[in-house]
Amino acid sequence: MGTSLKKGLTDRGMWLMLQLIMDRLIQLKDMQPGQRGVVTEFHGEERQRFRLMEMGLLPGTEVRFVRRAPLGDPMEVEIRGFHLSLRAREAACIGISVG
Amino acid sequence: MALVGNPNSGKTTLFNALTGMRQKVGNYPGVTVEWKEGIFYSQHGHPIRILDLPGSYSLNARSPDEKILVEALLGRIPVLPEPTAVICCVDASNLERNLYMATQVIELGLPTVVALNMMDVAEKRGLKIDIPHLQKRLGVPVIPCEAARAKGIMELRLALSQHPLPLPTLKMEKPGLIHEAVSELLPVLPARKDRNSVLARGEARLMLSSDEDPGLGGPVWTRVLLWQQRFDREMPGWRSEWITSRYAWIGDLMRESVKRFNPNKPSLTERLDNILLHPWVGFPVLAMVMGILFYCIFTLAVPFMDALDGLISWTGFQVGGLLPDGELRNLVVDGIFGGVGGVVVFLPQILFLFFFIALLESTGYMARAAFILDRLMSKVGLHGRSFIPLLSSYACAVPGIMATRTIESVKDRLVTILVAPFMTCSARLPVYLVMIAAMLPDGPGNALKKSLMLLFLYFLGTAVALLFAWFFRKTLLRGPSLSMVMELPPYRMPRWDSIFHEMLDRAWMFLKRAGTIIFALSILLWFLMNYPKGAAPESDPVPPEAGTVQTVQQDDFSIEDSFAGKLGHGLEPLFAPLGYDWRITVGIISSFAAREVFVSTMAIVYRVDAEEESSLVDAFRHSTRPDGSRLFTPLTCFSVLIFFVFALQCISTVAVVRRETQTWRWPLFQFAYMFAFAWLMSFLVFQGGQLLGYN
Repeated sequence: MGTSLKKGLTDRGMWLMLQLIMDRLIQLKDMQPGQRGVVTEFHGEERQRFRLMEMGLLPGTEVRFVRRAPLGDPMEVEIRGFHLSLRAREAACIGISVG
Repeated sequence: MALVGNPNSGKTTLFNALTGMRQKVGNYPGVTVEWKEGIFYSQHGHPIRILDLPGSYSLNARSPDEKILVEALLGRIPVLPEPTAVICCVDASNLERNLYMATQVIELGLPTVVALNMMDVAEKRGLKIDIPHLQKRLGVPVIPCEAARAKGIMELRLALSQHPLPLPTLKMEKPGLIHEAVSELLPVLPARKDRNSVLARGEARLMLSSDEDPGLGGPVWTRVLLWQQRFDREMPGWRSEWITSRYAWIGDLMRESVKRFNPNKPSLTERLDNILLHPWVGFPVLAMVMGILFYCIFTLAVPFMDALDGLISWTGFQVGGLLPDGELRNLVVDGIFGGVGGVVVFLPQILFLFFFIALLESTGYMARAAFILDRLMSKVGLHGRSFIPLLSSYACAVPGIMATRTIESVKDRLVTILVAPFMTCSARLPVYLVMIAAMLPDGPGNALKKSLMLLFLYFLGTAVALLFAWFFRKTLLRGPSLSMVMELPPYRMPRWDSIFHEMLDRAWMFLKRAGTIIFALSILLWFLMNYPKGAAPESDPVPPEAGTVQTVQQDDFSIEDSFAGKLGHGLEPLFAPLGYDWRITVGIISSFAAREVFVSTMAIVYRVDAEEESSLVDAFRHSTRPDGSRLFTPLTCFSVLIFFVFALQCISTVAVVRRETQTWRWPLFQFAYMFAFAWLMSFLVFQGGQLLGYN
């Protein structure tokens, strides 16, 4: 989508802002189904963080957001070839950079 | 030998393939975690004991299951032998994450064999694994296998038959400070025989990275904590660093030894989940699955229960025919066979329910059900997995409570157990029907009122269950539940042999552990209801107006003179504020055997035929208090109903909670709080109703 948009956007400032939005840092819980990203940071309680890390969700790990449950929570993500479910509260502690 | 592995790595299937039927299930003392032990024969025919330990993602123990795993692996559990070797079950289709714990286990230093399970799934996913290279880098034998098809089991058996098994040689780089800490810890670790220095060092390293005390005890654990504080100062972020570097090492190994073909093909699981977890389709499908499950335990199990019950009483009757008339015969026919019947009557429901649970678990749908329902259950602080136990409790709390073992978090599990008996079970139904009939006279307008009343009672039980769940989660069993971090495993074909294994194990455990208590208590109750016999004078409690009622052929025995009758009189003051006299109190005492016994006891009290509901209802309507006023006013009936909705009047439930929680503390607490709540609610209903002039 980048090239077609670029033609329309003459204002350089607008283009920079768009780039910022496109390559941005969001919370894992705000990802959209099918979206991919890379874990950049972890907040939250230590025990929970280490548990997730030991299951393979580390800074630098590539994440594919698969879906939300029918009621919107929890959510399913794919990491390292397997599927994991997390509650939104837990997913809010994980920062993702989406390309 | 110990068998370890990630959850869903096919560990149990591998265990079954190795041991066949030669296995037994046990409980670790003090906790609810179970172990399975089996025997397999080495190449030379030597029997080798093998212990199936709880599945985990890491050796850093955080839950009771994981603690048991680590303690058993280190030989710290007194009732279990110290393992001499470890079989590490690794899912080849999910190698990266599985290798995390595998490398931890190998580093521990016990002789280890890696069983590379699910090779077929890995191949289907387009993974090509260089096994000789993996073996070289891990420094332990790696045996490819497919436990589900019994492929590679022979090779695994051969690898395990080597004597002595080689010690692993895997070494990962560790900072110097760790070596210092390990050397300092070595002399203080609990000494054990045959512990070589490699293993001791491995143990010390594992202790240093633990978040919680894995059974070390006071002084040694304090030393570990001191070291951890020093790590915090000198190597900030060391825990994350260790996890990251292990995954980095595994990442390198993966690049060297695994080749991927067609990596982005959507799997069958993904396509199935697009339907089964669809925002609109997911719920109806789940409702259907739950509907079938509920139908099976609520309706389909009933003919089996009746048949079993009939068989037991027929046998009792036949055996009784061989005995001379008298006390012994009564004891055998009514007491013993009645008690046995009271136990086995649960079996059909338990078998059906655990067949379903095992089926849902082994196909992978159970995790999806929890995924869909988690939002609802989390509103009252429960886990998605609490749903099936609560649903099953509408049929009977006994299998429902047994089903809570699929909930991993201890607190979630306890809360579910504590509130499950509020769900209206099928044993309450006969009581509800009789009491509602007595409360609302027959009439054209009352049929609807009766059904609404029944519906209201079901709703009341459910609402209060959820309310108490929320309350316990906020007070007694507070704490965040992190348990929704859960793997959604790929769908698999059901393993019928494992399912039947599981089903029979559960039934057997019920008979052995809970069945004995239920049996003993039902004999006690039978005794209370029937003794002392003596010369019972005809002290007919039924007033003359009830004379139209048909009299049952009972022996010259009045329940009023029995221990239960005396107990009923004794406890009358306790129940009087609820509007009950001694007769209802006797009914309530008897209903501990099973709630529906209330109806048959009242029939005995009023000397009517229990099979005819209408005659009992008539007797209720004509029954009076000593002062001549009606006993079963609508208000009294409602008060009885409310009591039955809330009180835990069921020795079988108490026995099964005792068995599942491994202590008397929880069942007694549960009994007390439910009784207190039931008493209070009935009290409010009766006294409040009287104040408002309903009587």
